Amino acid sequence: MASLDNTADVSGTGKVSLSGRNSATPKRRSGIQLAPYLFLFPTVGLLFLFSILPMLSGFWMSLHSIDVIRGTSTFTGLANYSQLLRDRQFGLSVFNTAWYTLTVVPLIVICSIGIAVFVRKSRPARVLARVGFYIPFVLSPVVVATSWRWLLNEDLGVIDGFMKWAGLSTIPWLSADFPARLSVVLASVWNLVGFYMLMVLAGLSQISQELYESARIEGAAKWQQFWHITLPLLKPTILLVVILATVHATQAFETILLLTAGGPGSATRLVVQNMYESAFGRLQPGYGVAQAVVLFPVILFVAWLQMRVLKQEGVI
Amino acid sequence: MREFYPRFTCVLAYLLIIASVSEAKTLTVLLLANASTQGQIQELLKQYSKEHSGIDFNVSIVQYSALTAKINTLVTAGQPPDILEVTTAYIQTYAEQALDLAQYTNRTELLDQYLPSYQAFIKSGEKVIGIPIEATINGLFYNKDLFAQAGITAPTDPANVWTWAEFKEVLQKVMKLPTCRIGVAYDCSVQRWSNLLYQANGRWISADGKEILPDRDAAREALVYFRGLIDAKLVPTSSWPGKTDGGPLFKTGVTALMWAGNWELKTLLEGGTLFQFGTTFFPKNKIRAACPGGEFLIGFSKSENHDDAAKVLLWWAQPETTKRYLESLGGSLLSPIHDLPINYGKYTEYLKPMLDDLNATPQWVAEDLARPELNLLQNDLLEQLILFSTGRSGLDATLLQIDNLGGQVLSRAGH
Amino acid sequence: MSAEARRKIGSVAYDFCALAVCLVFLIPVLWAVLSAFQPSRSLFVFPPNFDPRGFSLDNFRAVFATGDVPRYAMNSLIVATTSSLITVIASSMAGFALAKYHFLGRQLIFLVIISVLLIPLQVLMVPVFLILKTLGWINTLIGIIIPPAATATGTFMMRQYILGIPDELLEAARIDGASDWRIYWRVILPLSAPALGAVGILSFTWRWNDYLWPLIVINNQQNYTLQLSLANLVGTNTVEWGTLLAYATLAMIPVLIVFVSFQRYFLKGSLSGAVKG
Repeated sequence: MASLDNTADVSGTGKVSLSGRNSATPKRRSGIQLAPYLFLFPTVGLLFLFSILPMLSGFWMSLHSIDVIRGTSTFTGLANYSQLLRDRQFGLSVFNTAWYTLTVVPLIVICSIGIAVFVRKSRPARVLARVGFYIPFVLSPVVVATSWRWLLNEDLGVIDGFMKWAGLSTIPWLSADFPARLSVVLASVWNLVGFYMLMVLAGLSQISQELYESARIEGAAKWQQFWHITLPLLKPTILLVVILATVHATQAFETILLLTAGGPGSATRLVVQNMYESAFGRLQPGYGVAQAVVLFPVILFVAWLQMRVLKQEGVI
Repeated sequence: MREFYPRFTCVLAYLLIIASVSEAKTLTVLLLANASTQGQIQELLKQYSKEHSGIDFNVSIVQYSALTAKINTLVTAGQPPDILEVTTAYIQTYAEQALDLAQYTNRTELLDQYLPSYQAFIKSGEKVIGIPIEATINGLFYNKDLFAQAGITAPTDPANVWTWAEFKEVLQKVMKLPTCRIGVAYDCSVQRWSNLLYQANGRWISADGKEILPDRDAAREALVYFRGLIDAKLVPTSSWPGKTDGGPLFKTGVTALMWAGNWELKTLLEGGTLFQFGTTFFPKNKIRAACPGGEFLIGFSKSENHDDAAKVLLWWAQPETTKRYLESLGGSLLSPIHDLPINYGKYTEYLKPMLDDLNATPQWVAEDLARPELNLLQNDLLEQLILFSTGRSGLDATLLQIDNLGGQVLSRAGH
Repeated sequence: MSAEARRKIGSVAYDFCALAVCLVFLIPVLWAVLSAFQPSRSLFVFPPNFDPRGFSLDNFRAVFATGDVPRYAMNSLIVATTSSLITVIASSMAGFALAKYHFLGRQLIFLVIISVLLIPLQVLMVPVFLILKTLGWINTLIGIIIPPAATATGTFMMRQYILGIPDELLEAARIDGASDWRIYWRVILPLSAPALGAVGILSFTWRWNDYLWPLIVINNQQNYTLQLSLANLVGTNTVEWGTLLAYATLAMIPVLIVFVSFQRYFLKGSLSGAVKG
């Protein structure tokens, strides 16, 4: 049977690619199909009601100066936005977020794929390991932050204790800028890798085992199998992980807040924390949302770019 | 048949009257998460329900860090709680919307029963915006075992309190011990550092509310001294700026001192420690000062049952009720009402130096701490303090930055 | 040594490596769990002494004294289960539409869904609260089940996975006269079991650990979830560390049970053998 172009090679004939393009869409030519819209309705409806609508309302808020204490709100137009342009703290938080995202995303991609490939087998030890790697994701942010804080304690923590024993100088994990940024990245990757591992595991299951079998019979080594079978077929999943990791990284907030509260000075203050503090610390909710409104198109553009780039490689 | 309608109407009227009379009002209460007190507050509210039929409470508990978010959301949506528990940092922030208790009772009588510091917290112009339910005060804890090893005794007489220089010496001496890894566990917050500012006889915001850090010399002294403590590693970097809580650091048993407050006593005494600990007086610079704190209950003038809320608050303000509450806590928290004999139980000896510090603290300290602008600026001020104490910013640059920050907020407040 | 034996040893060695790495990876968790067993006076002691003879269940007992914990657990369970179910169905439907249909606005809707991930609810609590108030969902469990049930992440995951389902299968079903819903129900769902399993587990985890939504919605202690109750151990001035660590340890267990039960779904090779050449 001729295998159609762009289909995953389940017949074992050796051709491997993906049904990315919907070449075999339903044939109804008469009028607009209702089906896709109906399928999309629950999700889009809920997202509209509880995410998009609040955002639109928030945009309206950002055009005002809201006095929470007195309960008044004055229309100020784009005043919040012009203030943003001059806000150095905002600029710094954007920089921190960019740095954080660029560091976290590659680490997550590499670690989640590496771990997923490792724990895929059904052997008991791997099953245990699977659960083990997932546990940090399940842990309460408070506990994540606390346990890391004690590990990283300069005077009493395990890590610096080890360094002292090894004759190295201790690192001020949470009290100097760069180490604090590293600590935050480390704790975040540790926390999230289980989540992405799950996604990769699901993606890995789409790859037919027969492919590996035939490759092994032909004498391919494990890493060759990985490079030529696993990675190419994981591309949709990799796209998923990259985009989600990027987007989630830009929204990182709670764990970092608990770990460093923005870092010594402002070294680990990311944008969402900045927004939160504007809204609830300095009691300027309009200003807080204005930051979200400004960043929204920027991050969306980055995500769109990523999709474009990965689309070139035949992933979408 | 003719008798039916009159009888029916009577029965109906009777039922309606019963319904309206026995209709219980439910007051919404929002409490701060605090394992030591949240249970007891609810108990006392239950007492109130028993004593005053028709009033019920719907209590929910919120974490301190989420308080602003929750309250602002409720208030903006037009649903403020009937009763809210707040700390000294927040009480004045809601002054405008708070229920004015002076409308329901004699203002002077209500105020006079409280310690001067606490009067400062609950006054807003002519309004009385809340009642203090418990008082806390900063205090100095020390590890008796480590002190004994180092051959140091903590002052037991207010006349012998350490000066700043002596305090530093004590720390250096104890830290020479191999068993001592940390000098003084010092929480990373504006309030803790403010303690030093006050001891140097300076304040954050001038009495007229127009200037920030009006006493420049005091501010400089406090800043330089604190930086000295950090440079000499007497205050660990995991505290400043690492933000590790002082309590756990002190419990490690390798910490000489903890600059905290009487709220730590409950855990230390009830949970126990593997070492002996004690409390002592704060060091002094120009004056003795410690930061008073505490919890307050306030109402909202726009809440659904604000009249009933006022009654509850005034009931709580009665000395007997306050006393009942404090003693139900076991005595770890102090009385904001002056001359109220509370049985502090096993906490008594530990509270003595703190109470003494509280009495020695001038009233303007509480007024300064109550300023809502200080609360608004918290995060920014903390950042400046961290930058200076870790040596990344110079003294003048820091003061300049603080001036800018203060200028923005103080002008906005329209003072 | 035969190749077979070498492979076996290799496998065992890999197993050992995996477990060792995993153990090191879990050091922070081990610290937290072991500390939960420490009586208050030994908690945080330096150097730490994790001698099992000194362990106590005080902290665990204290957990149950914080409030009506079984009730909070039940609330969390109801919320997490119901919401995950809704999420799995809603996101697979949406993923199917985005992956296998050409329709007007396809790319736009996809982008809009992704963009939702960029909306920080933390600063939008007031509008969200007002919407929920209008719906009458304040202080109800529905208010924390339905709103967060639609997730962009879940939808994206389903879309990517369904893209990998060969169109021939859909064609075949269509030729057989199946309606769109039937195709979804009989073809797509079974074939996307791995992704469904993953989305199910993830959304259960998210809803179980949700803090922001319950914070906005719930005002009544009866409707508290475990996370809300746990968070209240972080007091104004002090934190009940022992109780908190014990609580967090216990709170992890249901999610891990769900993970272990459902993980077989995403380890099957679902497509092998579906279409033979």
